[in-house]
Amino acid sequence: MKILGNLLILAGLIYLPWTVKNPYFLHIIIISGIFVLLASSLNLITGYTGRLNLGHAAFYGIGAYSSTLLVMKLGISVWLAMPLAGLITVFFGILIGIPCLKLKGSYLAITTLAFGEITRLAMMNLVTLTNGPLGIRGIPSPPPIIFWNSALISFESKTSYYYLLLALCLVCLLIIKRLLNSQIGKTFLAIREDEVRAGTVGIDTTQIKIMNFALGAFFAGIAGSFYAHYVRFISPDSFTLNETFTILTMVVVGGLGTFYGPIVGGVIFTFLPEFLRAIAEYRMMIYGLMMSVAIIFMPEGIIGILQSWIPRRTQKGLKLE
Amino acid sequence: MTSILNVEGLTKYFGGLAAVEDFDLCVKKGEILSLIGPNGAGKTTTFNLITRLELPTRGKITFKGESLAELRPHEIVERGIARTFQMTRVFRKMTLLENVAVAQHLTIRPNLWSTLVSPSERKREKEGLKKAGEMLQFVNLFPKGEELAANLSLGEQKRLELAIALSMDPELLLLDEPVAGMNPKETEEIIDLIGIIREKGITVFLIEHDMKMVMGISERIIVLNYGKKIAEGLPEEVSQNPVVLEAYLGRRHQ
Amino acid sequence: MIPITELAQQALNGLVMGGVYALIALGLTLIFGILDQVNFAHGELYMIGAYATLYFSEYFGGSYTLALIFAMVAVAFLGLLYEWLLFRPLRGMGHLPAIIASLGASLFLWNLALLIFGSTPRQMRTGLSEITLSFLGISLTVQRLLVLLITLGLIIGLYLMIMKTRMGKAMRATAQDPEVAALLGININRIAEVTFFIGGALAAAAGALIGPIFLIYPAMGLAACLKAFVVVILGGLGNVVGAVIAGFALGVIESLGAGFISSAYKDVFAFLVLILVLWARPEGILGKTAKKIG
Repeated sequence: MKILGNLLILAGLIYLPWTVKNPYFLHIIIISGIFVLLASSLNLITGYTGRLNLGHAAFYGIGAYSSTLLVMKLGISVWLAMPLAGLITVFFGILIGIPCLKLKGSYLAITTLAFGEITRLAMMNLVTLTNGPLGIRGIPSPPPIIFWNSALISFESKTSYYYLLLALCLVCLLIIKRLLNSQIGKTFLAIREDEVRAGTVGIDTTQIKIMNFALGAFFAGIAGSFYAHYVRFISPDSFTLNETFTILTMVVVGGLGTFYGPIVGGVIFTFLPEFLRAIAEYRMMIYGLMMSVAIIFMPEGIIGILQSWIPRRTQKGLKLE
Repeated sequence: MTSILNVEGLTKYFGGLAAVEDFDLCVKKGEILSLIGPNGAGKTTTFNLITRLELPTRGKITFKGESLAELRPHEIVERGIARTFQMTRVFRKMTLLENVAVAQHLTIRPNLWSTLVSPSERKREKEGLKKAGEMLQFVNLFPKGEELAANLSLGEQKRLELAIALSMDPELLLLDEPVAGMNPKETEEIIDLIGIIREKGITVFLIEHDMKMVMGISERIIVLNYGKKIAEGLPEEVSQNPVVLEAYLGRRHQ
Repeated sequence: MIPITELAQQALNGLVMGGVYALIALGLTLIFGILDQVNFAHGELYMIGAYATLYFSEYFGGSYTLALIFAMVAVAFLGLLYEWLLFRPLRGMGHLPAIIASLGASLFLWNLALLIFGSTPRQMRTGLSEITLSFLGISLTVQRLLVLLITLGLIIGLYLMIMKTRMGKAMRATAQDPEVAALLGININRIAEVTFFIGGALAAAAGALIGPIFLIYPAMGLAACLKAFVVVILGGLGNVVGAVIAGFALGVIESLGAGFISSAYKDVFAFLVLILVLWARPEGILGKTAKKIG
């Protein structure tokens, strides 16, 4: 029953570009996919493991810049650069994660915020590497995929990007889902609930916390890399505190610590600004308001509300539907 | 009987206050040993020092002949020591099954790669869940397996703590006030469970205030007062010991 | 050879800034120490305090002191709103929800300020910035002197209040052990209201004092909040004396660093100090004793 539902959704997603006439609309869908990845990656760190990361945009940016520089300065193919960028972001995730090991709560929040800002300042000031505030233009799109019978998929139209992103999201989300259902996923929750206690049940909290940061960094880096080769222009302005707060709002309002929460949040908060163009200046205000209201009145977000409508015998913990 | 845990000169100062001072103790393999004493005597601190949640100011602790110094709490579990907490600390927003399953971390030993790629990992997790169910059955909590731990009553939480501890396959079980706050019927059930645990060959070292239970279940008793050991021996000896009586009575007058 | 007068001058300027940091940090550290909650929207109280002083001084025909007092009271009530709307519903639920809720409030408030006041920085003229006193080659505008005096006055007043009054004793008791305090009949909600009231007033004062020296703009709360957190962490969360010392210390370090090393990276010093200190001592320099385990 569930499998049928999932297949239908998958079919719908595959069929989607054919129904969308307006290329701008498709663009928004693609951007929402990127944010689904970003929100899911932040959720791993903040939702499941309970460690607030206010520097998440830095991972996004490092992924974007790494991929760009690998391709444009080292001549590496985009297809290789993307996973490499993910790994480079992992490296930074570990680099930032290690000093953050002993920190929690607001200490952690402030320190990650500091790292995020330092990263952004680096992007602005290391001009020889990043071209500073002007950003980098003309980032190459992925080269065409050529099949054995010479049919090719080129990345000139948005449709190809859409399918690439769809594939990326499916793979990444499946990996995340598997992780969350696994023993490792349980250790994330345990650390969130009671870190000291987690140690006393045999969990090496240091190892898990670093792994967790690394994972969050990886998926954010992949998202950044895709972004770079899709929009083909990046600048430090895309990786500011505003981005981190937007992603956080997506996770919190969507459902902190749930699997579908960030997906719902990512989609909603990418489409919302489009419908609210008229009140664009109120956007961050509204996000702030929604984040506060959500955490007080609906701590499990939209997903929590939806779940409470479904009659259940008992409340479930980690179970993913 | 051989000794499984050896503590020599254990001392812990908090500021100027000695919570535990020059404490020597020896837990024999397979026995049920109780640690008693008035409130604040240093009993829980002793447990914290053994499990490395707190670091001793002085003293040596060896388990199965190997020193426990420099170890981190999860490594203590690896060596074979599991503990419960006086004020229950269960993972509140996780289900009972998950609470027990997560404690099997060291049995399953997951790593990132095997989690994602290996099918035998998934098999081990399924078996882990099954084992978790068995643990819950042992403490009579199986029907509530899918409920959140936060919804449990105190007695049920204490039983969950027991299940979590057993899930770590320990050789030495440290129980911190396992029946505190329980009614006589629940206490009886726990006593039975401890008996079964002992029969499986697990050494039990427990802290308790319920004297009836302590006298009934222990093979040996150690008494702590103001961080110092004041008596040690068989239950009959200890219960007649004037120093012990004074410690308890004296306290009650204050 | 480092010129002594220059050193002293920078240090003095640093003390002025440090006093302001201390005022902001005090509210923050009180909230953490007494209520075990974190207020990420504290900087906005500072920012609104500055704007309030600006508008009140126009309303009162240029009287800076009157404006200062009214601003402090007004923002104190805003602090009260924080407690009622954000922190009371989340009390006892750990740190993360309060952090997120106050982050949201911060976002809301500074963007609201952006809308209302516009992003162009404003200046507050009090005439006191124009008068300069000089002594042994060190100069100080009357405004800065005033900042120093008022800051010290408020800090001493707070100290006396906490140590000598019944309310202060109740606050200290709650900070030590909320459960016991409740058993003794102390109304935690009332304590919370007082704490936020005071915190708001102090933050507003900081904003009012800073206004004439630097520019006023909607995002000023963010930078101040960050600095305040650095101060609080350095001094130890909940440690009132620590916050004061660390506040002055940070002010002086920043000033000396900006004066002698580089003024462009002034704000980075706070970050660097923070990261270095937390690396060495995750509980902060003067740290709060760890809560009981088990």
